[in-house]
Amino acid sequence: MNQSENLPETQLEICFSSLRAVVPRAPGAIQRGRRDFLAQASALAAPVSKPENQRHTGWIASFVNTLTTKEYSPMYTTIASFILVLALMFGGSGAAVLAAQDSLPNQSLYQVKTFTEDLALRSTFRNEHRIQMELDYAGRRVTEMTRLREMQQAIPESAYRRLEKHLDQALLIAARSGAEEMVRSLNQIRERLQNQNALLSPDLDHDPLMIRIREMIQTRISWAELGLDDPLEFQQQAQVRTQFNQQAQFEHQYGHGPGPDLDPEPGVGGFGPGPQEPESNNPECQAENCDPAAQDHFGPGQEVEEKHQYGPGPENQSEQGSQNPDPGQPAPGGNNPEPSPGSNQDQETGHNGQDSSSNPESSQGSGSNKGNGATP
Amino acid sequence: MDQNQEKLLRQAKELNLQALAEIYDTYSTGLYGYALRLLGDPAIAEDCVAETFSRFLKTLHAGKGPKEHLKAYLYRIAHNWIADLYRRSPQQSLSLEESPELAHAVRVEEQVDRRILAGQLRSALFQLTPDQRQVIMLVFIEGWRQAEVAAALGKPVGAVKSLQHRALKSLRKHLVLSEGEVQYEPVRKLARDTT
Repeated sequence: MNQSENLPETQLEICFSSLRAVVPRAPGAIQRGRRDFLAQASALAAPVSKPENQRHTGWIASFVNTLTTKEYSPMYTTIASFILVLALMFGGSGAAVLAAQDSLPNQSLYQVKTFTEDLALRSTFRNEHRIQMELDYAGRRVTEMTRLREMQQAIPESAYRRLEKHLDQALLIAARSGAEEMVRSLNQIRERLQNQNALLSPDLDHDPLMIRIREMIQTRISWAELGLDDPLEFQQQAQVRTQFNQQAQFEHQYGHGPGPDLDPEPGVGGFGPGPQEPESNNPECQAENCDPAAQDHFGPGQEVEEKHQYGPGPENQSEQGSQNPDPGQPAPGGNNPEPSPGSNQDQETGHNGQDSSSNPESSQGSGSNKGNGATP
Repeated sequence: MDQNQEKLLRQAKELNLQALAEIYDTYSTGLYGYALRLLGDPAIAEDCVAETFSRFLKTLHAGKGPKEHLKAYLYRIAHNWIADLYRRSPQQSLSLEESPELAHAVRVEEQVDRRILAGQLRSALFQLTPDQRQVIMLVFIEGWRQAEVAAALGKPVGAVKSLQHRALKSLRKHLVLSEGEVQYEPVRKLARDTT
């Protein structure tokens, strides 16, 4: 038998009886307790209106009370879980976006940065703001490339293309605006680009890429000036250029295959330091009697190319054309960092190789573009 | 529930001071004894009573509160308060030296024995689960019927019986085995004296 069962009921009862007898409560304590209790009841029973300054903000205290209450309803738990999940999801993404803002084109977070920029551009509908953003982002691209160059690192082609895209988009939006707004926008673009050009580090003037960027900016300044001088002509050329870009994009997607991947590797191609690919390395030019310009529909020097340029005007033609009389050939000099004309990069961007030589304005006879009609 | 208590509760929900005073006068002394038996300290037992009625008032003011079984409701508040107190500081209320319940004992020797025994029982009670402890206290110390205890615990009478059975078994075990033969001696001695 268990020892605990040896404890008989009588003895258990004795144990209980030892607790039953208690000292009677002191009468003073009873009176005091009763008085306190009734005072508390009176305070609660009295109708108390909130002070004037709390009448409209009482919901805050009520909300805080709800949050700090000891017992939560299942609904609060569900809502709290939902908020927590959202915070983890978007908080993490937000941190990634924040961290990406200082990334450079050769870093993994750069894709996040450009994605957020594209998203911001897509969600902006006012032309004025859109132009402003395009110019801001163009400034970022220049800064990024300058930083990369200062760090002696290769610059991906995509960064350069993106800069070009921002500038062209800004001009295109300006061209599509009304007359008054277009003038204002072009003035703004010209001013921003002139500032940008002035801010380019003179220490890097010997660098082919910096030369190329400077030329690109100067070209766009001249286009903006064209728009200010002759808005109709500017708009026509912009329209032609848009159509051509669409066609190029269509052919890139459905007609012409992507071709060999010419994305430059750091230190090998592109704008990075390292050996330059000779023109003959272009796989499309391996055939007999290959003319790089003739091979490519979008290459410089062809009719198509010449028709879709924002040329600065006939007066520049003789001056610039004299620097490179052969518009179908790339600019001379070993510093030409561009892929060969007619590369897929040109097809992708649809820029017709206008910037695909070290001096696009001089090598392509941009002055003649204006006079050659605008039919794509 | 009789109509008087129903009326009393309705008036209490309206914070009628007369009804509230009646409730306090009716139940505060019993609650004090209940707290004192479990805690062994008059000051803490007073705190328990004050806090019990304060919580009761707040519940009424919030438009809630019991629809019936007012006594059971008040004892449940007190029991929860004691359980919380013991959880926070388990050693606080088990001092034998401060036990006041022996003032009525006639002989000094018996007074000492009862003091020791009360301490042992209190220790054993706090080894039980809160529900078991409340069943033992209400049935065997306060003398409640099982139906009333069931109302206080919000459980069926069958569940209370089951709780009582397990509580007694556990209590015997704690009183005999965990305390040892030496400390069991006062029980036998008191039993001998009683018989």
